[in-house]
Amino acid sequence: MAQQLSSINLVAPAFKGINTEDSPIAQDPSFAEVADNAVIDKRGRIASRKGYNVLTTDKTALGSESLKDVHEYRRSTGASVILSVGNNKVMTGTTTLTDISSSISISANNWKIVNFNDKAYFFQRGTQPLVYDGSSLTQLTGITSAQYGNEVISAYGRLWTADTTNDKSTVYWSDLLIGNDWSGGTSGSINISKVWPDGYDEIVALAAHNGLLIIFGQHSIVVYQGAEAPATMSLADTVAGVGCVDRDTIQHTGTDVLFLSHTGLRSFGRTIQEKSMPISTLSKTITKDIIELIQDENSFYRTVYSPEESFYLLTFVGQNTTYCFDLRGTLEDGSLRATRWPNSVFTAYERLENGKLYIGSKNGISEYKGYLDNGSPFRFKYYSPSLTFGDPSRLKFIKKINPTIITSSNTDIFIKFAYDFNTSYRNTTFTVQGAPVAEFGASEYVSFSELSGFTITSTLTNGIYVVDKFLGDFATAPTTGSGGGDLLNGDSYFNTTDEKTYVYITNAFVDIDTLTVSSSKEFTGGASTTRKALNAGGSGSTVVVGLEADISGSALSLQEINILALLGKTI
Amino acid sequence: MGWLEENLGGVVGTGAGAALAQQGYQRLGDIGEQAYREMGQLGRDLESRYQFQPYSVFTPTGGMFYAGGAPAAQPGYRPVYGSGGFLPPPGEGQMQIGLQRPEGTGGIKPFPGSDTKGGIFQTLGGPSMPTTDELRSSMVLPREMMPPQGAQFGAQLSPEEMGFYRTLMGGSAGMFGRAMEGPEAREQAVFDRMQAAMSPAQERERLELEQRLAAQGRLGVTTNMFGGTPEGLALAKAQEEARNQAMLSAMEFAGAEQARQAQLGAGMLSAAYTPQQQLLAAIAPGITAAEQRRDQQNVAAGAYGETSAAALEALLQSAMAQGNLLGGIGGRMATSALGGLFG
Repeated sequence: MAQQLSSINLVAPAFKGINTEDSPIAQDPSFAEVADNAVIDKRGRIASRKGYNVLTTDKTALGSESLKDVHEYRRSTGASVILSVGNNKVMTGTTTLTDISSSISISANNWKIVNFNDKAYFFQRGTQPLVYDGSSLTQLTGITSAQYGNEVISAYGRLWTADTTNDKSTVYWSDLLIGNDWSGGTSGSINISKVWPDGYDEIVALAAHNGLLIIFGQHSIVVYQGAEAPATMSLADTVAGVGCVDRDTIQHTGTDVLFLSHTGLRSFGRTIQEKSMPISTLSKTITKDIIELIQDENSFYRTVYSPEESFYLLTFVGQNTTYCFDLRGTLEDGSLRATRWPNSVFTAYERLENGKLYIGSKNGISEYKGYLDNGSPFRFKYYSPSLTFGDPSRLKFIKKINPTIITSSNTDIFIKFAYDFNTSYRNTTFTVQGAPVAEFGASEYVSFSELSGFTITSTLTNGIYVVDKFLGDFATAPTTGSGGGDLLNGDSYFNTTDEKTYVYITNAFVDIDTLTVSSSKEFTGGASTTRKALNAGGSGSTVVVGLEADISGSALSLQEINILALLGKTI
Repeated sequence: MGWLEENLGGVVGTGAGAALAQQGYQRLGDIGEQAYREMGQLGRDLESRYQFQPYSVFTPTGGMFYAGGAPAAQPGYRPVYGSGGFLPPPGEGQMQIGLQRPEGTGGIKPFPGSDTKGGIFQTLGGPSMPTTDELRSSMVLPREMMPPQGAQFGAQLSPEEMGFYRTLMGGSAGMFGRAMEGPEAREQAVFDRMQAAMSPAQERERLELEQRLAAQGRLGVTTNMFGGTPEGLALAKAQEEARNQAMLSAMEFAGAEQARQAQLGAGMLSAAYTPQQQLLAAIAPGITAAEQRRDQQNVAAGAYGETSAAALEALLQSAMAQGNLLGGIGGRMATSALGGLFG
């Protein structure tokens, strides 16, 4: 009698992200050994990340350098200017990078830019700060060279700076609401050389949160409360053994402050609660990878928090590696779900007020948008941990691999599997068919004046615009309306014969292209779910299943992988 | 011869009359000489009777005043050469106020060689010997109590009174000396003591603030408004105010102290003379008694002189009458005798 096939159903595989800390054999199949160029999507599935769409068409000012920082300077009028730095210049604009620093000699690009009282301030160690008021860039006055800090924050009505060339223990603050007065009014400083919990440290970064001034050292943290009145602020807490690697790794999430310590990503709130307990690290599943990257990093770090994407990106610029931490939820041990974006060329990030995520690179300014990297596809990879089917002592004969993939365009999928930790993968390829592009007009969802009275609504559900009263695709005009009876005003269908969309208005279907556009919005294509049964072979005690795909314009999500195997003899 | 016989009676009468006149003349001359001698003797008697009689007055507390020569020395006292006074035994600090009117002057000077051993006359005859005017100003004896020229008088306190006097005089000199000093040194000394008293509390406050700031991690705070922390400024301000207050208090205290010292000095000075004043007060009745006695002596001497003079006058009048009588008898006898001869 034929032996019954055993089934391993990897539902939402890798939705817990990468785990390189635990033994691959004993690992939860919900982890991934590899999750490259992936994110955890809104449904908790592993999916491809977005690409970057280069906005800059003229980067003469930047030359062959890469942008080191991108900053949105917002004015009280509501207007905003995109500032960027690189090639020892300060530039404005996105499509054309315009040098606004030609009259100033700049020799380094490690600027940190903050908005403060209708101006933008640029700080980096040992260099006279700059100030931009919307019309011109000038060197900041009212500050001494001893106060040329590497870190600057704008908080509690003041500028705060620290980490100067010769002083790693003093925090300076400006006069109230006056960014160019560092010696008068209510300006001041605090030397915390005698406050460090373990005797000595050097200030790396500052942060403000809930009335607190958080001073990050290299391996300790000092927290002051009442920072609204810095002359009387007092020590609230200290944490020894946990510090910050770089000022640019600090991101505010609204309710917490994330920062990169020497042992991984950490939450300030939890660090304060748990002090320096290692359990508080948010990157516990990739701790060794992070530490290795930190130790090898010789350039700089770039991070960004995007509430729209619900992730925190951490880029090791010198190693072209980005880790994406999903902030929708945490694992049982409190760590964040992490994926990796290898070969990333991102050198700067800025999340704009409107939610867009700008990326700086050698190409200038890009937007995190679409599913192409500057017009080129990128490789999405998923590899499961070593699967034992519950019994590592018996041979497994993989018979079927049934992936369930969701995408909206035709995509070549590479299913790979290997036995017994072998790195030579067997390969099976197939192509998933994406859903037809359902668009009104060319590529936009639009509103039409003629339909405004028909209460046709659309909703954005899970990233897809759903239009009611859409009857479906038909070769000829349908006769049954959305109510199940007669056709109603606003009922529409897609004519597959002439590939046009028609809408029913006053007893007749009208080509939608002939209607008057009152407003238009982006419209995403639909997505189709593909379940494919692939034959497999070979045997081994453990098996790793992988999936790779070149993302070329459409998102791809891995919903499920069902593996059917015969369990053989005990080895 | 007859003539002779006839005129012999006249010649004899004439001779007898001349002899009686001669005797009357001689008697008047003798009476005058006797009156002269008697008046001279009366003058000498009156001189001795009117001569100043030394006297002494002793007080119940051991003080003594004498005029016209010191009394006999008390046990342990030693005479002062040329003064007639005595000094207390060495070491008792007794001051002898021995004075005599210098020749040709109306002033007074201390007895030569008198040793005051720390008294108001340091070393008589030495470089610091007070002048006459100083002495006069330092003496409290009224001018009418000054003895006649060449006479002697003195006042002498008991050892206890002298000790009291010396103590108070020394204290008074010290008080006045301190009262006359510049106030700066005393102000500084008082201020230093106040600071020393306040310093521990201030140091505790400073340490408490330092500890609090350290606990608050604020030791390194530097502000433009406060220099350091507001608390640090408040403490420094409070301490400076306390310091300023202490400075003012020290100045006020030093001034008040000097006034008090001057007052005490004056009081001591006044009290130092109390024994002397009491001595003088005590001798006044004695002096009065002595003066009364001397007045009585003077009255007696005057009565004696007047009586003697009256007696001499009577004797002189009687002798003059006798002389005149003899002269008249002798003259008439001679006249009669002469008339018989030639008549």
